[in-house]
Amino acid sequence: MIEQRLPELFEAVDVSDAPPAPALDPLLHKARRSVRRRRWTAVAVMLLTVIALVGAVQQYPHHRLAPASPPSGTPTLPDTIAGYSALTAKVSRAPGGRAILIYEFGNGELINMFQPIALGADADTYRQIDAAETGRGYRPWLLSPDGAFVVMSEPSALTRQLTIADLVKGGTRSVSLPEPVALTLLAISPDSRRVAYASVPTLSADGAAANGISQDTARYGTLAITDLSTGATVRFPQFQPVEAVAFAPDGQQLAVQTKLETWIATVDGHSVRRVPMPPGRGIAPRVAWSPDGALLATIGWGTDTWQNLENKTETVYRPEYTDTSILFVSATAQAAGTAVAIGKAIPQGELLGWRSADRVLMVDGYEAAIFTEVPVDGSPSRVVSRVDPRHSCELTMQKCATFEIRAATGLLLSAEPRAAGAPNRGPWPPWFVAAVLGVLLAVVGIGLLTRRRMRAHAVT
Amino acid sequence: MRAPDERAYADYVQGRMPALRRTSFHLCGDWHEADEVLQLALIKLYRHWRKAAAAEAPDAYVRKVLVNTFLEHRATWWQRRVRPGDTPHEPPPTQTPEERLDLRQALARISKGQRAVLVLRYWEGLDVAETAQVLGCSPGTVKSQTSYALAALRRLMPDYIQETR
Repeated sequence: MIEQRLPELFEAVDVSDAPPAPALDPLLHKARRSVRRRRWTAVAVMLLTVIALVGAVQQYPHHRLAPASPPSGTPTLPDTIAGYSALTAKVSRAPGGRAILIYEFGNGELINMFQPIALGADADTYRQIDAAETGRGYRPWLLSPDGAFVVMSEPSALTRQLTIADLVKGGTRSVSLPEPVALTLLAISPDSRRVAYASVPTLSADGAAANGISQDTARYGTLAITDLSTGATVRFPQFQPVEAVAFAPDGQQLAVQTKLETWIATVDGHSVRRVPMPPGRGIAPRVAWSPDGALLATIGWGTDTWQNLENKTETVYRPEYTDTSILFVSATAQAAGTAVAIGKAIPQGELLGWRSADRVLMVDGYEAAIFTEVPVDGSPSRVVSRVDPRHSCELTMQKCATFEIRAATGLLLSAEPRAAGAPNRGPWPPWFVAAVLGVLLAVVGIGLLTRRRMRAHAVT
Repeated sequence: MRAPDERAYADYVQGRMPALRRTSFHLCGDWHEADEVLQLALIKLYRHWRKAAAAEAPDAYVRKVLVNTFLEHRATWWQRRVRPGDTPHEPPPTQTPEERLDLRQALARISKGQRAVLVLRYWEGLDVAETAQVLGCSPGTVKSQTSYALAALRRLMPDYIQETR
């Protein structure tokens, strides 16, 4: 039987051609290297796993499990506003809650890198307001005083509706208008229920051009107020063209800038009186009225004139470019009286809202916006926040700039400045998750292949 | 690995190298691959030396590592590419005297699993249960693989069959 002879046959196998036995030192060297390599591989796998898990957790739709409810805490304003990030999530996907500020952020010299951003009022949440994006640019917008939603209009066409983006729940809805109009949004009432705007039924030849709607409404626009809950619209034909509007704190009156005159009217349009203003001045857009109703913030107003396509002289009324100072006047002065300036003019900046009856929040700076709290009596101001200037846009070729800043004016009154925390930008965008997973899979695949080949060639 | 452990590992490897090398050679059929497989197995042993040294029978542990390294090595992508048809499972039915093989050549003609079974049982002297434990399979599988392997050897080495009659 062969199995009985096999041990003997094994013993008899010719091993005379055996090469010298391998030395021990190279074996030890390779063994040590193998241990080190496995340790590093384990660390790398752990790191990649952690990254994948973090990504997966970030992807988890928290907002769908926990319906957002209006927060009741004190709103806050971080001392530093985080820089640009392409990974900022969109409101429709992961709403960041009520906002203290909204702004366009980025640059577009060579690469279009703008983002319409909402900065959370309760945490360092940053979200892209995707409802503001259109194929033809961003929608003009206003932030509701309670920071809960953004009202938007069409940037370059007639529309039959206003678009409302809910920053708390992430949805959008439309409010129908009585007829198609081209409109410029002017102000939201303090109770966030009504929106005032200037509208024209058609666009002129000039108005059809870029930025044409604001040009047309500044020349011909009629004031209208629409109730955002019912859609009811009240028109104010006596105010044409209307340039700016500010609601009184009780929401029952409006300060209206028409041409170079300032008027105060009740929201039903029944009572109207003119307000005396210093020469060349009119109300600051949107937020002129102080929270106690006593003051109106004013800015310089001027005109531009030009010959239109039909060779007629056109005039448009607009804020003064050269003098951007803010001056406060009495909101209760009678038309026959004289404008009374309160305090000294605040030299520079754009008025965002009121921190109290005697302090305002201003913003200044283009590429590194600085938010300053300024007393109306002209006493020293203090910086409460600024945009982080370290970050750059367009692959570091340009600095990021801030545009179209709007504040939640109702929240500003109680907002507490605080040290900024780590930015919460929400879940990674799907394209980034796909890229990370692709790289992860590629790394693991290459690692496995390399490991197999190295194992096969360990001796050589 | 700490220095005392590494010294113990080196002593063990140096002492057992000839026997392990011979087993590896019987499994692989050529010295180049035998040294390669043995080195891979000894590197694995280095990584798990504490466990192996603590085992009641370190040799059994090392044997298991060696055989499994051989089986894995034969399953690698590289080995499959460079050794196509190296291990035909069914030997030719008849051979001329010039074609008759010795054990080394005959082992090269049977499958890696059957070769491992023969080496473990008839070179290492393990019984069915021990062989099954090393290979991680059932005793029934060991028995059937042994039977197939022996049948193959009988066809490949008719001279030895005749001698034993």
